[in-house]
Amino acid sequence: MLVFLTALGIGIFGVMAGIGGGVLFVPLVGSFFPFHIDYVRGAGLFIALGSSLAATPYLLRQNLASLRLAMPIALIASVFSIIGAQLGLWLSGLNPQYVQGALGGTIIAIGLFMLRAPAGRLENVPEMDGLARRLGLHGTYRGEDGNPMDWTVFRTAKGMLGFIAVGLIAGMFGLGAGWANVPLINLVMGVPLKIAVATSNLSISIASPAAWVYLNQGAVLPMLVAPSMLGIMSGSLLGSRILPYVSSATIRKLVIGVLLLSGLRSLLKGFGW
Amino acid sequence: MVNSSAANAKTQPTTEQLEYAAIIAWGNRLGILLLLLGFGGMFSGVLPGVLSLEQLQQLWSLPLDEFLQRAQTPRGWGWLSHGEHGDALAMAGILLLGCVTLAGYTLLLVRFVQRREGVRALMALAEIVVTLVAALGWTL
Repeated sequence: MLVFLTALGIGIFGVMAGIGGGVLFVPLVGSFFPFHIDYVRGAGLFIALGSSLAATPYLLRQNLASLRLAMPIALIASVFSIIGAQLGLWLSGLNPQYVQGALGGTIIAIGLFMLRAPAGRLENVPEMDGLARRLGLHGTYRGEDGNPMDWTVFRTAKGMLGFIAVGLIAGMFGLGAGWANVPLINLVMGVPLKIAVATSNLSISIASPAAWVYLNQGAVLPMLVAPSMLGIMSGSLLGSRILPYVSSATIRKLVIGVLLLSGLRSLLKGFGW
Repeated sequence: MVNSSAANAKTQPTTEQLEYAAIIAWGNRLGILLLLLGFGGMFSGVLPGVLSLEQLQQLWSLPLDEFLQRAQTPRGWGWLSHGEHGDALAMAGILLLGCVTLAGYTLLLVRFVQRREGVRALMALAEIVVTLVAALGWTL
């Protein structure tokens, strides 16, 4: 029940801060609950998968998420998240404190990155590059004023290289990838923020192989995953209802503070303190 | 008028995008339902567990190898042979959620092959293979 309530809170604040639940769930539950870190990471991957699957149909029907753009991103993330998951389980087998410490360092880095990352902006994409043209990475969406707006992609190769690192980190620590996908798609590849957020969500829902690695190793406990997923999903629904009445900038700062604290706690646990 | 309707048509999702969305929506609903039934059934005591909540609380801080040795719980697909248990039912929901994308991608592969969109068909096939390899436990 405590896991459900914690997941509910993470869902509420995660939505209001504009980040996925997985990135909050793993350091918080891993640091403050008695579960072994392997089961928390396994649960974290299924939470990221479940939350993104829930949002995917709406985003596709609204043509906000681009299947064409998500396919290469998800393929790269899938392959490297398997490697990350294997690496994480191997490291944990040597000594779980290695993973706990590395997770702490990674979460602190993510928190600092979120604190310093520039606000999303619509890049002025000079011209679609060759790779983007070959993959057909372009589309049209309805802008804030209701008018159709074309979007396309540049620096495609650079962006795709970034997803290698994102896949490795997400698989290794059981984190969702929204915190990194959105800036990569928006700031590096020049895709409008609205499309970047929705496409990031879609690609997380496709890139599920790392979750299978944990599941087949026996590191997924159904009675930990079920209340966590149900809590996060209910929390996300509640959070989206509360969102219009709160300052999302304040909530985002609060969540970054929680991330930094739980990252520090995880880092200290890694050093055996 | 013609330009405006052409521009509006460009903002509409593609057919395969809508078909893929429908598969994800149905799979997701079914997966969540199984999760709810399994978790609710076991939490309320209506359904037994492969591993009882009391046993789980004693073992959940153990490293993976030790946990599996003492809990004697199945791995991956092995849970499906214990369908009458609440935790196995919840696991069936988790397995289904993991497979939803595979079903959607199979449909995409068919559509891309029909339209002779070679690069996309190859990407869909590669994703299916990678996911299947992981789902069947064929990784290292």
